[in-house]
This record gives sequence, structure tokens and C-alpha cells, in this order.
Amino acid sequence: MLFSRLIVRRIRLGSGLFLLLFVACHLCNLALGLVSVDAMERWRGALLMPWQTSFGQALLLAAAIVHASLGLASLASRHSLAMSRTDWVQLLLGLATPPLLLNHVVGLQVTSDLVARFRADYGYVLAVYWRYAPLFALQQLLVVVIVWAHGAIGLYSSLVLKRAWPRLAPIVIPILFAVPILALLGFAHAGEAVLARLATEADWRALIEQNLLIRREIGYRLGVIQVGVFLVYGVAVAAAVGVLAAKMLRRRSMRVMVSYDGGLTALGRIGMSVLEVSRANDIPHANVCGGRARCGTCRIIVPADADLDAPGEAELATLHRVQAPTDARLACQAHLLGRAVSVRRVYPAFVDATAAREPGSWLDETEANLEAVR
Amino acid sequence: MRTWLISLAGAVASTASSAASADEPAFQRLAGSASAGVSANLQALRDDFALAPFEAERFGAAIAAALRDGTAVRTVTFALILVVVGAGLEWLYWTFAAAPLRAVVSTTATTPRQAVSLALRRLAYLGVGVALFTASTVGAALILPWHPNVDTMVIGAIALVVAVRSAWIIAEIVVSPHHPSLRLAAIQQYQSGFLVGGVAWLTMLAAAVALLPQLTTTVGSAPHLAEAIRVAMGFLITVSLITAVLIASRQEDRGGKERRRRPRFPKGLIASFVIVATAILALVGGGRIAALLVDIAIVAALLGASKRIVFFFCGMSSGETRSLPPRNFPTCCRSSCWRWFGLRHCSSGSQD
Repeated sequence: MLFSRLIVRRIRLGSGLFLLLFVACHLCNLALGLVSVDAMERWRGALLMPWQTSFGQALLLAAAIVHASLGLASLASRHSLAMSRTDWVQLLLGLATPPLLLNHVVGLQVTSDLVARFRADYGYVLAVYWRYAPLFALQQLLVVVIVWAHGAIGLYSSLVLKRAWPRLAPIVIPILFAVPILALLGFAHAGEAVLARLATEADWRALIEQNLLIRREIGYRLGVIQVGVFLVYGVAVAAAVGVLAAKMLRRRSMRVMVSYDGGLTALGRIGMSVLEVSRANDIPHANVCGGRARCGTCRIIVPADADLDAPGEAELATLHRVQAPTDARLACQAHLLGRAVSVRRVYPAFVDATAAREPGSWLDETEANLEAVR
Repeated sequence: MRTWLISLAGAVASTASSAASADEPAFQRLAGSASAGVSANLQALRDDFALAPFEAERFGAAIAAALRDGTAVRTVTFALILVVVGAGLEWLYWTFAAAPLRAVVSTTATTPRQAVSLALRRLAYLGVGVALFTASTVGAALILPWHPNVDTMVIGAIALVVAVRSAWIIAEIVVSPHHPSLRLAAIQQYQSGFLVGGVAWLTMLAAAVALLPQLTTTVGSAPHLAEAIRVAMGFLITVSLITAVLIASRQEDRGGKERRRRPRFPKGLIASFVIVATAILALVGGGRIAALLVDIAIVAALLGASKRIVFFFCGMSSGETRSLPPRNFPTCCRSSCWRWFGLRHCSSGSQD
């Protein structure tokens, strides 16, 4: 394998954070619409210009391609669809983003790159969205919420496991709320101002319509680019889903029994992780990070001869961090190979992120908490 | 509940007795007026469907105009702010409440009474989430400067979302498809997921019946289109209910195949008949009679299931077994008839 799972995971997280930073800058710029359209335009240089240089654009494009590719690769590498609700939301929001966003990117950035006299300033964009092509506005509004929700969930999932989270939370959470709300309010406020200007300033309206004409003139070329990207993305998604489906179909009859503590048993398939088996069979099993080998809360104690695959680098790093004993495995990374397996869950299903931040504290409390719930 | 059942049964009984003692011309007058009412309703229905296409065009034009003048974009922008506020705050709540909820659902209830106690705790956790969503979205909706008429629509839409979610939560808690030991109803595992899905689907349809006609009337001033949508959605609800009844009765037949020794009373057929009759009555303008029919059906179903419910919660608190064999419909009818006569006797005794 060219890169270990740990490195791949870090690249995916890094590219995602890079994209989120860009989106945050973009939305902050949009929020300035609450002041005026001129303010939006003035601040565009500071907030968006770094991303609009050739280097910035290349970096942004690379981050988008890497993040999407690794997301699809992660989908294809799954062995079942037993995912948490948050993972489902993340997956669906992530899959919906590129097709919804493509129109915006092609219509503005690609057009600007192709035609030098095309002026894609905020006045033009808002005029198009509020007056000439309102359906695109609805699409972009939706994509703002989708992208932000996808990014916010990803950021939270990664930060909540850090020791610094209790100190960071009072800063990060208000920002996660404020940015999209202010951006949407700014969009609404600036849109009304643009509509009023369109109604009163004929010269400006003529300028906007001239810009629109340029956009129409190269409409065919833009259409070809758009269809090409759609096609590539569609093929990539179909391939990922196809690999997953083929894997699930091929192994549907290869049943493996998993025995848990407390006399519980569940049936899984070869290749599934123990956590996936727990999820598929409604067996309570802690998993704060959703099965990404980050938190260590899903860990299980297994016999030395358990028929499971060998632990990878990411799993070993997490097990080392939480000071797990040698017979411990992460249920999310321990995949069934064929023979029946017997496991003992370390944490109760109701642990929260503190168990990932301070693993020792929860182990002492576990028995007392179990008694309290009973 | 018991008092309500007795009073309802008394009302039905008095209606029946007064109808029996009515004289012939009065009955003819009643039949004549009912017939005229039905004809008028059917004519109105024909008009609704004849005028609906024109109103749909007008509605489309109104939507296009709203898109051009910025009303639609502004409305969607504010609606998305409500989504961010409501869903975001609820998500924040769940980052704290998810662990306690998991603690509740990962507990195995040994008796139905313990299951009730755990269900109430689940209801509290889930209910607070919905309440937070409702309060935050309604609060934000009241602050935002909507276009005229839109704010009431938005509050209506929030109410409907809350209604659907509440129905879903209650069904999920009662049926508990993923945690059989927490189940509050004597139903089989294979029926549980189907039941929750069915309740959610039907509540969503009912919510759409309430919202879509209001939308067409407010935005497009299209009363005939609204009525046509209402009828179409009503038809969809009827079909969904009949499908649910047929699937449920087929699953029950399959489940009880081994121990079944004699033919069963066709409960599914009766239920389908009641559904179709209610739909037809509602369609031809007999809304009150349809509502009465629904009430009677609910009372009959409750009476039929009362013994199972009582036994589920009280008779088996020792936790020996939690699954009860399905009862035959005639047995339910017999016991319901005995109760009915008991009620009549009680009510006549009190009149004397």
C-alpha cells in the first residue's frame, strides 16, 4: 500500500479543513452583505483573493479532488451499510455537494478564466441570482447549508476528541452557528439592495445584461465542461457504490458468529468489522468517532487466537494512546476472517467523548454508571 | 379514557335508538336532503377537478412571479436560516443528550412496567429535542421579516414538521423496533419496523393534506386546485391504509400458520371496508358521519385490544413472557359485545 491508513485519514481531514476554511471565508464575505454590496466587494480582496490566484485555485481544486476521491474510496472500502445516523448524513451531504456546486463554479470562476472581460463581482452574482436566474439562487442557498453542515460535522467530530475541546467549544460552536446564519442574512439583505438598484439604475442594469450576454455566448463550452465533470463524478460514484455492492453480494452467505459479553450473539459476514456487526444487529456498542479508529471507545478484549485481521497503524496508534492492554482491539478495525469470534466490550454503549479524551476516568465510572441506569 | 369510551358509546346508542323511533316522512325528508347534499358535493368535486388545471397554470405563474420579484428567494433564504437554527440547536442538544439516551436504550427491561419507565425517559429526552427545535424555529421565524402571508405559512409548516416528528417518536417509543425488550405493545418483531414506517408515512401524508392546499390557496389563490389536491392526497392515504392493512393481515396469517387450526374472521377485510366507507363518506360530504365511523372503529379496536393491553402491562409484571398469541376477531367481538351490553345496562340503570 502506497500510503498507510493513518496518512490517508490525515490527508482527508486536512483537505476537508482546507476546503472548510475557504467556505468560511466565502461565507464571511457574503455576511458583509448586511453592511452593503460595496462592503462585500471591498473585502473580497482580503477574504477571497488568496484563493483566486493561480496557486490558490490549484490548491483548492486539488483539495476538492483529493477529499472527494478519498471519501468515495472510503465508501468503496466499507463492508456493509451499518453506519451511524451522523455517518449517513455526512455521506449524503458529501455526495450531494459536487453536483449542486458545479453550476456556481463553472458559471463564475470558469467563465472568468475563459473570458477576460467577464466581471464576476458581487453585484453581478446577486443580480443574476435575485433577478435573472432565481432557481440557481435556490440551488446555491441549499448548497451553502449542505456544505457548511458537512464541514461542521467533520470539524466537530475531529475536535471533540481532543483534550482542548472543552476550552475550544465556547469559541468554535458559536462560530459554527453564526457563519451560515450571517451569510444567509447578508445574502438576503444584499439581494434586496441589488433588486432596488436594478429597478432604478438603467446603466448598471445594462452592464449586468452585457455580462449575461457574454455568459450566454460561451454557454455551449460551459455546458460541455459541466457535462464532462458530471460524467466523471457520476462514474466515480457509481464505481464506489458498485464495489461496495459487489463486496456485499459476494459475501452475503459467508456468515460468521460473534459472541459478546452478557451472552449476546450476532451474525456478521466475512470482512465486516466487529463494530459493523454490532450496529447491524442492534447490539449496544460504544463508538464516539463512528468507527474511524480515533476515539478508542469501541475497544474490545479478544482471545489471542481470535480469527481477526492484524491491527493497522491507525489502530495501533490509538490503542497506544489509550494505554490499552495487549489483548485489546478496536472493534471498528477488527475485521472478521471466517471463524466465530468471542469478544468482550470494554466501555458501556453510553460513553461520550470524555471517554476518548480521558480514557482512564471512564473505566472507573463504568460499573457505577451501569448500576445507576439499572 | 374509560369515561370517554362510556360517553361515546352512550352517544352512539342514543343516536341509534332515536333513528329507530323516527317516523317515516321525517326519514324520507332526511334521505332526500342527504341525497341532495351528496349530489351537490359530487358536482362541486367535478368543478374542482375541471378547474384545477387552469388554477395550476395560474399557480405556476404566481410562483414564477414570486421567483422574479425576489419573494421566493427571500423566503427560501429565511427558511434555511430556520433550518440552521432549529437543526443546529437540536444537534447541539444531542451532543450532550445522546449518551444518556443510549444508556436508556441499551438497558434491557425485564418487565413491561420497567419498559414503561424507560419509555417515559426516552420520551423526555426525545421530546426535549423536538421542543428545542420547535421553540428555536418558531422564535427565529417570529424575528425574521417575512413577506406578508408567508409567516403564517412558515409557522404552519413548522407545526406540521413537529407533528410528523412527534408521531414518529411516539411510534418509535411504543413499537421500539431496534430494542424488543423496551417494546410497549404486544406486537411481533417483524411488524415493528413496518409499523413505525407506516405511522411516519401516514402522518407525513396527513401533514401534506393540511399544508399543500393552504399553500396553493395563499400563494396562488387557487381554491379548486387546493380541493383537488386534498382529494388526491386523501386517495393516497386511503390506498396506503388499505395496503398497510393487507400487508399486516398477510404477515399475521403467515406468522400464525403453524398453530392455526380453524379459519379466522377476516379482520383485514372488515378494516378495509371501514377505510373505504370512511373515504367515500368524506368524499361525498358526510364528514361528520365519516368522523363518527372513525371513532367507532377506534373504539372497537381499543375494546378488542383492551384485554391484551391490560395483560401486557399488569398481568405479566413478573416478566415470564412478553409475547402474547394473537386473538381471533370473533373472541374480541364477543367480549366487546358483553362490554357493550354491560355499558347499556349501566346507562339505562342510571337513567332510571
